[in-house]
Amino acid sequence: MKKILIALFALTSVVNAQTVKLKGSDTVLPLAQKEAEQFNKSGKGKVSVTGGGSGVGIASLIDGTTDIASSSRKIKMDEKLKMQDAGKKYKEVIISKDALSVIVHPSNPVQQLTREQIEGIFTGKIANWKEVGGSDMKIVVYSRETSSGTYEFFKEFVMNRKNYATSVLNMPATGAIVQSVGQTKGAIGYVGMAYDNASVRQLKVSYDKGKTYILPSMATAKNKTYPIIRPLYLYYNVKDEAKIKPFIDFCLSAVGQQIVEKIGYVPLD
Amino acid sequence: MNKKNTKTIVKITAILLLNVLSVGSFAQIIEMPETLEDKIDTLYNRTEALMSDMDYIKKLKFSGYVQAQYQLADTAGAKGNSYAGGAFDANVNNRFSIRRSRIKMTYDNNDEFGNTITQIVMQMDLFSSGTAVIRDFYGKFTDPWTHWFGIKAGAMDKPFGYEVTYSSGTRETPERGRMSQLLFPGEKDFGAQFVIQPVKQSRFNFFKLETGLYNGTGVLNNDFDKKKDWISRLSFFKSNFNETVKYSGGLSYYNGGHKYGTKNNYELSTLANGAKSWMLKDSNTTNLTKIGKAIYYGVDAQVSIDWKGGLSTFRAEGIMGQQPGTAKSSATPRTLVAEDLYLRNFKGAYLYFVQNILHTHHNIIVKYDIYDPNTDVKGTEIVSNLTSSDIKYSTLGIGYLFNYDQNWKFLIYKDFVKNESTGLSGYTTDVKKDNVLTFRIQYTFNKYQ
Repeated sequence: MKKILIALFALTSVVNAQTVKLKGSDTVLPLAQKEAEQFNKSGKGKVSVTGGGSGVGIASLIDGTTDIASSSRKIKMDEKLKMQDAGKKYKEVIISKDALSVIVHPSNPVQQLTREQIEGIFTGKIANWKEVGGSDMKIVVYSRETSSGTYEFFKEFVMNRKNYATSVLNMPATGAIVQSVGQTKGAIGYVGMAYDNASVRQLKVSYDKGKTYILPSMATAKNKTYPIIRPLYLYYNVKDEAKIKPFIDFCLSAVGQQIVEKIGYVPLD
Repeated sequence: MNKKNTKTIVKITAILLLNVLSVGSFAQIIEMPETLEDKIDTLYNRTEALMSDMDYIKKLKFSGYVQAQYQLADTAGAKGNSYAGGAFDANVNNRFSIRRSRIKMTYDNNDEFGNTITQIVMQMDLFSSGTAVIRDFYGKFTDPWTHWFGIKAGAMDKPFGYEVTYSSGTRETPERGRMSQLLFPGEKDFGAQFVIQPVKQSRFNFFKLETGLYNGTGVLNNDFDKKKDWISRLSFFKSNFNETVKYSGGLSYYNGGHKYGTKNNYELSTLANGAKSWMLKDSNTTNLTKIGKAIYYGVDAQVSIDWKGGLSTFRAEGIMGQQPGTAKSSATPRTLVAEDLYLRNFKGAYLYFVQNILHTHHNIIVKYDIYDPNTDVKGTEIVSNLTSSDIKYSTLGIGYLFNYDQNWKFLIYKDFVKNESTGLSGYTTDVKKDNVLTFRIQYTFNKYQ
C-alpha cells in the first residue's frame, strides 16, 4: 500500500511541477493565452495563464506565486529593489511589440491628429473637437485605469509625461474602452491595435508636428513608420530558467512570432 | 472493510486532495444535474459564490517575520553599546535571542476602481520582549472622492525622517542607529495623523505630507501631560524615465516636549576652570507646570541606482534640535520623570551604502552614524559635572547580507563603536571593547503581497 501511496503522490506532484504559471498584464493576456495554447499542444510542457495587470504579475514573481510575469511596461525601480530584497535575479525578455491606436467614434469627421493635439486632448487643454478641425462637439476622453501599464506608457510616450485631465474616464479594461468609444459620438481613447474593431475608427497620427500622418497597421508598425509602439515583456527568475526557457524559446520562434502577428500584435524584427 | 483499509483510503484521499488543491483545482462530489444548461447554471452559481468568498478573503492579508540571532560582544557588559539590540548583562559577552517576531494583519476595503478607502492594520510582536506587545493598531480612511486626503488614528509610526519608519524586516542593518533609538525609542506612538498624497493622475503625485499629533510616550505607556507632540514630514519620490534611478527625500519637523519632573530649571554654564556644568537657573514652583521642549529638524535623502554591477543604494539623514532628558540619559523619556529635566542641543547623522553584487543574492553594507547628544560640550569640557549621556559617539557598521529568497535572509554585521575622548572617568579615551558582532537569520512570510 505504501508503494501505491508514494506512486500517487509522485504522479500528482509531477503534474504540478510541470505546469509553468504565467501571470500579469491584461494587454499581454490574449497573446500569452494563444502562445500557451499552442505550446501546450507541442507536448514540451504546460503553461497556465492568468491576467491581473503588470504590477500584479511582477508582485507575484517576487513573492514566488508565479513563474513568469508578463508586463506591458518595464519593471520599476521599486520592484527591482523588492526583487533584490527577495534574493531574485530576474531576466527580461521582449516577446513582441504592441502598436497603440488612438480611436474615435466612426461618425467623427476628424481623421488625424498630431502628438501635440493628442496631448492637449488627454491633458484637458483641448476640450472640443472643433479645436482640431472637427465639429462643435465636446470631447469625451477614455483611458485605462492608473494601475495599467498601458496608462503609464501612453502618459510617458504620447503625453510627454504630462498628467491626464481629471475629467478623463478611466476604464478597467481595454475592451471597455473600445465599447465606450463605439457608443459615444464625441469619444476618444487608446487601445492596443489587436483590440481594434469595426465599432471604432483609428486615427492617423503625426509625430513630426503635422508633416506626415501615419495610420496604425501591421505594415506601418513593422516598417516602424507608425510611432506609438511599445515592447511587451516577460520576466522570470533566472533560477527557474531550465523550466521556463522552452516556453520563452517557443514565443520567440518563427511559430511563436506567427501567432503574435496573427492576433494583431507586432512581431519582433 | 476493516479498520486498516479505512485508514488507508482516508490517507489516499487526503493526499490526492492535497495535490489537487495545490494546482488550484477544486473537485467536489455533487449530484449531476439533468441538462447541460443546469450544469452550467450550477457551475456559474458555485463560481459566483466562490468569487464572492475570494473577494472577502482577499481583503485580509497576513504577513510577518522572525529574527533569530547570535551576538558576540568584545567584552561582557559591552560598555558603551546598548544600541545593538539591547544592553549585554554584566557577565555576558555572547547571547542567543529572538530579536523580533512580528505578525501583521492588514484589512483593505477598496472601491470599485481598486482604491483603498478603508485600511486597518494590526501588528504584534509576539515573543522577543517576553510577552505579546502591540506595535501598530490603526485605521486609515482615505477620502473616496479625490483620494488625496487620508486620516490615520491609533498606534502607529511617528512620521519623522526615513530610518524611524523604515521596516526592521527590510532594513539591511540589524538595528537603527543610535540617533534614531535615542530620539524615537520604540518608534510607535498613539496619535492621529492627516495624510495628503495626490493621486497618480496628478502632477503632484510625487509628494506626500504626513502631519499629526501624538502622545509622545510610545504605545506601552499612558500619557501624563497635556502637551501633544506635533510631528510632520514632507517627502517626495521620483524615478527616471528608464527606471534605472530612483531618488527620494524629505523634510521633517517635531514639536513636542516633556513635563518638568521637579521645580528645578537648569542651564548649561562654563565654570572658571573651563569645564561645563549644569547650573540651577531657578526653582520656581511654576516650573512644575512647564514643558521642556523637544524640537527636531530633519532632512533625509535616498538614491538607488541600477547598473551592471547590481543595485546601489545610498541613504543619508541628519537631525538637529533640542532634546529634554535626565542627567543620565539623553533618550526621549516615555514616562513621567521624577528627577530634574535637562534640555540638550543635539545633532546627528547617518550614511548607508548598500551594494548588491551583480544582481545576485549577495549584498555588502556599510553604515556610518554619528550622534552628539549635547553639542554645547565637547571633549575635555565633559567632566564629572556631566555624564556619559553627553558624550558624542560614532559607529561604523560593516555587514554582509545574503537574501536567499522571499522567505530567508542571513546577515553578518559588525558594529565598531567609538566615543569621543572626554574628561569623564572611564571615557578619557575610546572605550575599545564595545564592538558587537551579529549573526542573524530572518524568516519572512507574505511580505510582498
